[in-house]
Amino acid sequence: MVERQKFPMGSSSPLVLLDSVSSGYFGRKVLEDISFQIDEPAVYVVLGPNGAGKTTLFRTLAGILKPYSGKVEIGGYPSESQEARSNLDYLTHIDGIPEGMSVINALRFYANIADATEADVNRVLELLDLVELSAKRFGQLSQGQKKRVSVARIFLKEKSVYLLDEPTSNMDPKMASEIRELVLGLSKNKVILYSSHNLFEAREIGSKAIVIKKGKLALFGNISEIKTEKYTMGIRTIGTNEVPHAIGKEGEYHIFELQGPEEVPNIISQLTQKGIKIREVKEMQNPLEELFK
Amino acid sequence: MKSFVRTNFKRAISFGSIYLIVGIVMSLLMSVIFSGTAAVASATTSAEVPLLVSQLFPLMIPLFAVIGSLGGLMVFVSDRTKGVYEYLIAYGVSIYEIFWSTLAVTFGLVTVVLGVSIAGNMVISLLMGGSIQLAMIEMLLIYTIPISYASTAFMCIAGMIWSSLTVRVPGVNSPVGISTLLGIGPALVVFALSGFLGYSGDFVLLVGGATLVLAALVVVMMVVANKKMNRERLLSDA
Repeated sequence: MVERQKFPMGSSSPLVLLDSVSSGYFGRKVLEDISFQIDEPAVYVVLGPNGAGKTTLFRTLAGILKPYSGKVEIGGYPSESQEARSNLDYLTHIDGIPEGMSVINALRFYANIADATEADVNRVLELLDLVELSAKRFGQLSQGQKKRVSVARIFLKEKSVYLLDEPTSNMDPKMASEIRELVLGLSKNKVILYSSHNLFEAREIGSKAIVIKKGKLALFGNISEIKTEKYTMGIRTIGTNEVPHAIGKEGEYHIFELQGPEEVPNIISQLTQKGIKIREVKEMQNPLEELFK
Repeated sequence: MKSFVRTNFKRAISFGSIYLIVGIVMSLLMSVIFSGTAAVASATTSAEVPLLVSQLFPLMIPLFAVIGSLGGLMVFVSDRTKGVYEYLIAYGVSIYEIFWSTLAVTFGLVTVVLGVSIAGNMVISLLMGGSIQLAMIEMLLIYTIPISYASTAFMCIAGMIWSSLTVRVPGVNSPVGISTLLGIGPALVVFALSGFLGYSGDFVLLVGGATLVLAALVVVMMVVANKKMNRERLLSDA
């Protein structure tokens, strides 16, 4: 039997609890009657297609949205209480860095609100390789550097629960992978809720899944319970219409059906060996969309 | 909270620097014009003219105070748009604290405009051979200072609520543009009515009444916003 991890405050309550929660915006329900309980620290991937209610779930857990009904608790405390907030950190795809601030001042701004110290700010600058950028204005940074600053915020103070809402959305794969490694480095003995609309990304991140479908809980369990049969990708080439292994064409994309994204490098290698010039590789179909039909 | 206000005050000076400069420069320019007019008038006409002219300057300052203090509201609108409030609310900062800190920043900016304008006016007046009239000091205390703070507070709270209730609109129709008009409005009304009332007991009553009404409006709007406004109003539209 797995021993339940205690919350730092000494409570034996569930680390995260949602009990019949309905929530949304301006009276319009987006989440309806969601219930689940997290007792073990782990990475929980919150899955669902765009518009399923993932962000609403995160905002409700973070105490940003007030649930219309039901109960949300973090470590036994209501999510809107200061005790819950002080043990929880939250990151979205929105940078949330005040305009006009330098990197170091932006971190100081949040350190001040999160009760972190100047030493924490310096530690985080080093940890995320931001020392050389510290005097630069946030607006002058590249997209990748901006994302590192935004992510840096969650390293200012150690928390027990991390809510990471699509932190790698709109990022190129290399940068997304770097950010993912960074944030998942937090995961030891922590609860991390990480939202994604990409099942293959989700399988790289964690083993537990919380699946949201049209505002309702569709699955709370192991990610292996989600079966998909194929992975569809498209390749746009330069100057050729004959592409081996392609099963068809959609617009300018030659379509390939694979077992998973791990087969993509092989396909690319085979095509380039045959002298085919590749302009773009794109995931054509989100397996989750199939799953939720 | 203090540190939050301090940080945002510095940002507001930077964001609204053009408005701050315009507010101060315009008031000093008026000061030069009125002091010059008073100096010429004192040499050619009766002593009542310089006295009248010296009273015009304090009547106009609230307009410049509203313009000069727009930086506070600009920081609010920017932070809302950039999603800063989403994080602040997650850290436990309330709508009330966000609104109150913006108001405090705006009051800081008003103090800067008033301080520089009034001190500058006195220096300019003395340099141009005039004197500091008791009537002007009375007018500053009775009218300029209370109306400046009340008008900018009204402008600020109206702008914050307007901004929270609407999607972002650029230009003069933006919350910052609309609320400037709202802030200048009461000062203009009092300014216009003062022409009929003159510097009398009725004028003092008018100013006192206008200040109280504005202050009451600010308090009511603040309480209503804190109690009734959904937190999702402060989330970024992104």
